[in-house]
Amino acid sequence: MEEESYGSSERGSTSSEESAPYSTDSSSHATNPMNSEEEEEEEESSSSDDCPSKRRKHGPIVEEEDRISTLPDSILLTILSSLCTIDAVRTGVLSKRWAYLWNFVPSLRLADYYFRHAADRANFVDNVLLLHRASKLTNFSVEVEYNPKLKPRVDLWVRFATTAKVDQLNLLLSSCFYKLPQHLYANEFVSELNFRACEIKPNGLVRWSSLKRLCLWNLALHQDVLNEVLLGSPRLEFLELRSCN
Amino acid sequence: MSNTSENPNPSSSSAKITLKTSDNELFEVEEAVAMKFCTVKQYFEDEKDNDVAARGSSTVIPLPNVHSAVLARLISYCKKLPQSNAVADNHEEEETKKKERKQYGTPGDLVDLISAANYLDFKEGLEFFNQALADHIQNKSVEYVRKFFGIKGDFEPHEEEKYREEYAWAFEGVDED
Repeated sequence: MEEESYGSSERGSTSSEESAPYSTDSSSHATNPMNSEEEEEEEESSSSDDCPSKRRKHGPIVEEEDRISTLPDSILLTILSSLCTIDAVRTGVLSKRWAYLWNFVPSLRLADYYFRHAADRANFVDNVLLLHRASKLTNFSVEVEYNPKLKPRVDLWVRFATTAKVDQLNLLLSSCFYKLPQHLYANEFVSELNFRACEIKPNGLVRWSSLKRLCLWNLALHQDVLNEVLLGSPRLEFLELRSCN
Repeated sequence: MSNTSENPNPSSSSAKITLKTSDNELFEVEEAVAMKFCTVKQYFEDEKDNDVAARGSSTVIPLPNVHSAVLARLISYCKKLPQSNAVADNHEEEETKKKERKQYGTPGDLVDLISAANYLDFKEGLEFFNQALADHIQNKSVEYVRKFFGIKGDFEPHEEEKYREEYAWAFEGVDED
């Protein structure tokens, strides 16, 4: 029960139910707040977050206490999600608590401008994908200098993202055009697509039934293809065309 | 989750709700602010009592996981929130936000704010403080991150070296401070 109450801090409904009995109980002890706190076992696991003096009662006072590592995985993963993946990978060496955390990050932001050698760039993406373990991706962004030799690999990356039912897919390429794989035109999960330097040529119907935002940069787009896209995206709310002919 | 900003009772803008923190401090806050905290909002929904105005001032909502010092900061952050949910696409705006995030002090403070925002299910606050924390990891060296957050490296030296070798590409070109 105590452990559950800690976990429940993520869920508003359960935690407020638990706190309801506390309300009546604490009012009867209103003159002595410490008493009521000690009687309530449920609070013990979580109140330590807020009260520095209580937190240190188990040990000597340390100068710099590691508080961040006490956050639950779910929050740490949210924090890692907002980072470039390369930064998230680096956190793996901080301590054992962090070692495999980044493997489960639901958002991958892979940009190649960190790498001096072209060969490292694509390898970096491959390495990350090999180690990644989250079953669901909220975001998958790849920003690389593209050349036709990379085609089979980029195809695999896109497949990786769609298999993980990605919500937001960003393919921000440069130099050469990448022809989107046909399976991508029928995707019921994706809600946001950003394509740069990609070739959009569906062989059949476009079916982007959840798509809300579409941004196309730096690519050639025929009017009939655009019509096809609009026809296949019934929930589209936002469309941006930048440097498209 | 999606209807965070929805005000169930827009006419009662002056209604107050009393929140009680872990150290038994009482906070009287405007309904619009309190409803940003989905845990508080849920409390009323659970009671099947959406008429917050009528009961608001008489009901005290206990928040046993939140310390008064932290709640005070969350409330002041909440009051500063812009009304519109405009996305900050603009680079300049992002810089201003970054500066604003820097004001939230020590890592311990940030962790307290994040834990409390998480418990209260306060989405905007959680996003903001998570980002404030992420700012201290983004493009920083491992040494900086360890020192800033007080993280003790507990790998054996050879284990750490192995990790750094294996992921050598991730350790190039980062800021040292």
